[in-house]
Amino acid sequence: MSAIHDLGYKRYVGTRRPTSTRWRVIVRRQMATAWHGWFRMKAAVGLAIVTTCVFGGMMYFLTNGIMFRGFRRVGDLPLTIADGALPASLDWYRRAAFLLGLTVIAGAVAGDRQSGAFTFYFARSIRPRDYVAGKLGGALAMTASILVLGPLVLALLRLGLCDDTDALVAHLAIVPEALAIGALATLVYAIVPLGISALFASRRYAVAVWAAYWLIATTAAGRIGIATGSSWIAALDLARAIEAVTHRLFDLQLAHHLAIPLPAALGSIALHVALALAIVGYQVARAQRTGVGGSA
Amino acid sequence: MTAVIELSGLAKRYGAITALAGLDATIDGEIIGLLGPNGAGKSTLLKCLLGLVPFDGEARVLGLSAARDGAAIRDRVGYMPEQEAVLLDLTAVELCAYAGELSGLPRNEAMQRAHAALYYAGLDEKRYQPIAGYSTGMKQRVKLAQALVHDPELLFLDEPTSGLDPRSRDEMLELVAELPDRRGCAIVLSTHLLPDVERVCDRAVIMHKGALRFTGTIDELRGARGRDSELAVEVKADAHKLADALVGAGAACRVQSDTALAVDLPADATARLVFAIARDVAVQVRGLEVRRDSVEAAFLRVIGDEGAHP
Amino acid sequence: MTAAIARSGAGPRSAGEARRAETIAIERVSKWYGHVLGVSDVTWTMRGGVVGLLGPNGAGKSTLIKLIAGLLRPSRGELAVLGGRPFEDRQVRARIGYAPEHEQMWDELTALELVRALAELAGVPRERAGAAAERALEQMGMADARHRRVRGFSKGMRQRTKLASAIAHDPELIVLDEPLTGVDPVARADIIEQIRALARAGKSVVVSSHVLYEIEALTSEIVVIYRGQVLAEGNVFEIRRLIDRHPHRIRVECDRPRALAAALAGEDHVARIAFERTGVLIETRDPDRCYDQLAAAVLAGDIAVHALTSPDNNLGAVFDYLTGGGRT
Repeated sequence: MSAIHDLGYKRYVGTRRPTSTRWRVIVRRQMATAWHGWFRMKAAVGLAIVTTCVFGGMMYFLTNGIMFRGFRRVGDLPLTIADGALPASLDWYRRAAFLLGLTVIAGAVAGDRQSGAFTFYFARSIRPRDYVAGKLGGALAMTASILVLGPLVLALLRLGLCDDTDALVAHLAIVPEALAIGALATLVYAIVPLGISALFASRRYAVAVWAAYWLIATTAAGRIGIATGSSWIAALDLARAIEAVTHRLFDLQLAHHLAIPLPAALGSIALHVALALAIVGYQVARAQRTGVGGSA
Repeated sequence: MTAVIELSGLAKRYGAITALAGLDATIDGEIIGLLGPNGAGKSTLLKCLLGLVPFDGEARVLGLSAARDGAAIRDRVGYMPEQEAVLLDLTAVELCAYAGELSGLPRNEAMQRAHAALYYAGLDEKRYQPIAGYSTGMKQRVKLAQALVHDPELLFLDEPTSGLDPRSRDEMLELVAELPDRRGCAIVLSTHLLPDVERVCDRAVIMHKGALRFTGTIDELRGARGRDSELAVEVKADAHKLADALVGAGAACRVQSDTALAVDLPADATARLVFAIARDVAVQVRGLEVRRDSVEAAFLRVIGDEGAHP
Repeated sequence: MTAAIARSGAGPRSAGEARRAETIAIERVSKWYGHVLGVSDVTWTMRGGVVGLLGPNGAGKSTLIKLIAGLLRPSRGELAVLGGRPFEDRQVRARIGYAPEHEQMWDELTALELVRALAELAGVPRERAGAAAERALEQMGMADARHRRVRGFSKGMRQRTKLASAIAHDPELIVLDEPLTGVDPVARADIIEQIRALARAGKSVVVSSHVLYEIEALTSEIVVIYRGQVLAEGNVFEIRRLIDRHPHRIRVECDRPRALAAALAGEDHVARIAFERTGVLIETRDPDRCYDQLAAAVLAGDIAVHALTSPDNNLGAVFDYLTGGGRT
């Protein structure tokens, strides 16, 4: 039977997802965009995978070798590569995360401000908290895929290298330790660049400032701290702060650095994270009020 | 049937500056022009209606309270901004689907409606390319599509033809004019281009210095139908000759140029008189219409002298 | 001024002396940017008054404007403005005022400082630049706001400031690129009046805009750029007459449209008759005869006419006919 069908417009009569779940859409979009192209998330994840292979390989093939480069146990005891590879790898995972910050996270909010995307978001039923949750969730998820997943894999490998059940039990702690340091580092490497991103209305500036902050400002703070002997100033160097926590967790002895006490390290991290979150929250709330409606 | 927008004592102050001064109105219609000089308070009104800023008084959009149900309103309202407001690294399809999902549609539904909206807006194969490479005309179409995706009942369009060349402007205005019929939504069109308003709007709201100066139909704005005896006549040449002859027949005339004159017919006379007299003096009539204010003239009249400020 | 729909490959123009009297004389000018074509083989003269410059996006309007204002050098051809070559000759540029579409304004300056600086750059001696700037701003209605920083200006104020900077040095030719974008209706009426006043004072003005009713409000003389070439130039209504592919449309709203149609249906100049809700639309190849016959039919048949209009005898329709449907 012949027919001509009515292609007329049909209203949407289904349900709408509740507002509180919208942030997940933003997370998915963040990650999809980050994964696009070779030089954003793929590059950072690539570096993380290489790191895992290299350090994992070292653990596998040189299991009982002695750890190099000043890595020793507290009390100046020697450290096997099997035990030392994981803490040593963190240096490289952190570089991968820095790269991720550079290519994806530092531009996230600044890019939205620059392209007028805030109007796009807030003319809809997205609340500032949904936007922040979405961006934060995306940044944390992406960073965790490097800083938590990588060390976790190495930790499991370490367990796999144990000869017997007793050794296994003895080393079981390495998994929560890996997760802990991974989570801590994730907080830093996801939230701080996000905060910087919220400060600027230009993606380029935000990325540049993230790079400058990480490579120059924090390093300078570290050196000043060492020179003046103040561990609190040195703790402003987030890399050193994370390192300090790492050494505490894995019972390592620092060969030649100023010993940053745990409170100072954690305090610095908390300060940075809180400040970054505050910046993001403030800027986004302000954008909701002013971003829509144009000039006339 | 609830009106599209209802305002009751709506006021908004920023410190010492009164952006909106106690607006009372019921705004309804299919395509409503929102007009006013810069600084009249249009964007503040929009922010209040979308529930983005706190305000005094009451405002209801589509029957929902702007103060309490801002998010629900924004789910039902589409906004096409004047400024840049798109994520450039996405393709048009991705952007519109994203927009749909952000408004609460399930993913498949959002994707389907994104395509439908893009078809309506006239973006064909280009929809699979990143927005960064689009011309102004295409970007405007994407902005329209993303405002339509989530099946809004009310659409705010802010200068939809800005930056478009004459052909694209025409096409955009056609799209806008058909929206109420084809998509079942009402439209509030905010623009400075009054001839556009004349073309597509059926009602108008005029704001000035935070107050409403006019709400009503376009016809009311232009001053009723104008009386049938007041005509604007165009001739091929020699307007004065026709004017003189018409005056002799009892009409009042005002010659505006060699080819145009305004005629007030005497009682009981119709346009036929003009043709008859024109034939007598061998003047060719090329145009004849009842005199009405253009929307622009009516607007300037409503705003008045105090409107002139840089 | 005669109207012409230019056919490509126009022949060379008359003597060079005549060129001196022309405000703008462009002869076979082309401009390329690498592979990208700006304008191609453009020949056009302007003798004064207000001319509207129209064309689709990307057709070459801004290129032409920049060539006239002296910001670009022609790749080929002869371009004379006010008798000289604007790109090379500072003196000539000093007699041209240019208000670009996108301003690179220094937001930190006040309006007065900005206009004064630009006036000095255009060659006004320092002692007089201040007074010239003040006069220009006052003329543009910015007298009260002249000491405020540009950053806080609305779009209308920016446009007025741009306009002031284009006239401060009292140029003979003023070139305006989209001078009314984003301007509210009140300011628009004012700025249009200012431009008309400038023309009455003897200046030549070239205005480019996408919004055709703005051009219509200013002038009936237009030049249409299409695909990098001059497609049409002259008086709008004469150009309309020249477009013979599209018969003239005349709409008559009356009480007995069919009677009127019957009276005209037999005429050979009538191409089409269409009935509308309130009247009849007639397409004719000879509007002159048609109008006469319409009047006769109205009187003979005692038809009550409510309105007689020609919906396509305006700039919008002309532009559409010229650039629509992939011409040439």
